[in-house]
Amino acid sequence: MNWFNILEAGVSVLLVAVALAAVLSKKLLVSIIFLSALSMMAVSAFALLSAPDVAVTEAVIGSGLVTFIFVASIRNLGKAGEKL
Amino acid sequence: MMFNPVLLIAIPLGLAFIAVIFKKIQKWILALGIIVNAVLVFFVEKGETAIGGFKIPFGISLVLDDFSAAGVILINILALAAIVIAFKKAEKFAPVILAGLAGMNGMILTGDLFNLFVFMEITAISAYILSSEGRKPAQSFNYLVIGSVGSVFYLLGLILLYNQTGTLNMVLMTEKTGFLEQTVLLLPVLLIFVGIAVEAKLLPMAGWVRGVLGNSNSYTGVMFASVYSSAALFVFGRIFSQVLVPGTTVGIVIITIALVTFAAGQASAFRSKSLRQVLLYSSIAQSGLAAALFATGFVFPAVLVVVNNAIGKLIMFSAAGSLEEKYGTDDYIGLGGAFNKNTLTGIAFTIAALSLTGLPLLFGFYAKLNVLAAYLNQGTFFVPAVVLLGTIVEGAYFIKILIKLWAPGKEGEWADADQSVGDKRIFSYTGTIAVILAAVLVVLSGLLPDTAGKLIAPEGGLLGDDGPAISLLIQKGGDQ
Amino acid sequence: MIKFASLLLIVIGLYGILSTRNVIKILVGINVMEIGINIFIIAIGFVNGGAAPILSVDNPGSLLKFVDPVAQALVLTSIVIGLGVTALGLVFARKIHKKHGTYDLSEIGGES
Repeated sequence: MNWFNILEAGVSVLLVAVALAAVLSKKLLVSIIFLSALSMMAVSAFALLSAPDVAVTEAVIGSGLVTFIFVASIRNLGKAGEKL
Repeated sequence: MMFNPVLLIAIPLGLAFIAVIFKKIQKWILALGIIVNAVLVFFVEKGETAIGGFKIPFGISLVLDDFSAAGVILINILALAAIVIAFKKAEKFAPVILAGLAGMNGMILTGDLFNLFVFMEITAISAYILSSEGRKPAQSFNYLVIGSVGSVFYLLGLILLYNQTGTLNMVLMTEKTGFLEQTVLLLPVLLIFVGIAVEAKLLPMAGWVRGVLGNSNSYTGVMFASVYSSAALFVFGRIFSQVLVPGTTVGIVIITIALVTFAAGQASAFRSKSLRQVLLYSSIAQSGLAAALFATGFVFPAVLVVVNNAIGKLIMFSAAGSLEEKYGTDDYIGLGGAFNKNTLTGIAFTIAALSLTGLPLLFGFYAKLNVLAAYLNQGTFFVPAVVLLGTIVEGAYFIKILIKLWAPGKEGEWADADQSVGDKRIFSYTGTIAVILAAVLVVLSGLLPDTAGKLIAPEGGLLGDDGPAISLLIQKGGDQ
Repeated sequence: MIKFASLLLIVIGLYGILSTRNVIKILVGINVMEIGINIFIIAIGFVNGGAAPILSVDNPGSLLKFVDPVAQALVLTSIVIGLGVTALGLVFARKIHKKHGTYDLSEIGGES
């Protein structure tokens, strides 16, 4: 049991937990925030698996841009009485 | 002068970006791109072309053999015909159509499985955008969800194969999967099948077809039913009759799914009351038939079925979409007598419908005959029985529609002028000419089937199959 | 270990797509699936103890064990395609909301 295995196990458990939270949460905004967190967990998984360039891309696109467009589109439409 | 096949992808893709920048002249850019591609496709160099400066197994390559040549010629000519028929509807989607055309050419030409995924996604995204023309966003969304799930499955299957073989190149993949056990290949091949089945309209993933094609107009209907679906079927053929030839177990699963698609499509078409729904179920059925043939290894008959379906659906979907726009109804009983006022279009539609059914002297007859002969030569009797049964059902519903559209009123009565719907022209002049030309093509290739067969497969066979299973060349007397 | 977690992510994403009729939640499900497949691809290309496949002064190519660079190139492409599909899906979601005033597909009815 070295550090790599421990980190790997931790990241795996967190990935599954956060993904479940993203899919199961009732509120849209909470779901999107968990998706962003899942993306951050993916970034750490990529970094752990020696893929720093993929990690950077995922951090910018997956965690940044995707979250931004999700939030932007539900915020603009939320005024029509939609429960966020 | 022969050109590099990469131009078939690069020209429309480049023009798509130019069309985004120069919005004012985008319709001329669209016309230019489609026409240049339709001409260029006859002057591309055969063989394997490496792109990107890597040697072939390491980099991406484009493969232009007889099979992909037939594919790109069909796709580019159909794309040209589609914009000729309804240029007004196409012009606002100029960048999307050009990018889609680049994607489809890439899908058929590429020799790399991941590159195929990228081109499939480009094509799919352009298809999602075109489907939004139907003004039913929920249906477009449904299509997008099914497409995304399919592409994740495709990627998963691809990666499992990569893990086993260490390559993404199709030629090397063929070699290396030959050494693997069938049980190892079972899961990846089925996952890849699911991924391609979305665009090829095969049954488990065909849920989007009804919502998208049922709300298509005279342009998008043609794009979905004949252009996109032919491209997807050519990819299906490339993968399942050359790269990942399914073994017995997987083969039975895939062929069964395809035949069930065929039967279910014909049955649903028979039940439908709306013209476009009949046509879309018939498209699903034809896709199923072509997929079954490809998975069995009968490449040449399958290509004949794809070509016949593509030309037929070009005529029929453009007419159906146009009828819906002009008369505001899609029910073929409510459209009774519409062809009396549009005789030429009506004749073209009739020829297309009869050719799809497989009436003698039309191209469809040659296609159906080849399908049956291929199976009978192999000694299979179950599949030809299914195909014949489906053909009977197909004939029944097409003849029902044709009678209604030519002669309104009750059976056995002569049609009165006042029973017909109002006098409205279906197509513009260019549209009528394009549709008539397509119909003439069907008749001519039906009268000279061997010449048509030679055009599709110059060497006699495609991807290593036997080529025409039956020759219709009328022998001169005593020439035994 | 992380391989199985990523396969589990694909299953969770599929469950998320199938279990809800809310368009935004469906898109979240698609994104979970895509993240799962991306991690799976990288995990397939991973070599235990391998260095990042980047040539530099302190990583001369001939001396080190590298992880598979092909897998990483695939994932870079796949991430960008995923962004495009998600953005298009959100455009459709906006259109649905504009037309029907709701994100819930079950409130819209079958034929629209």
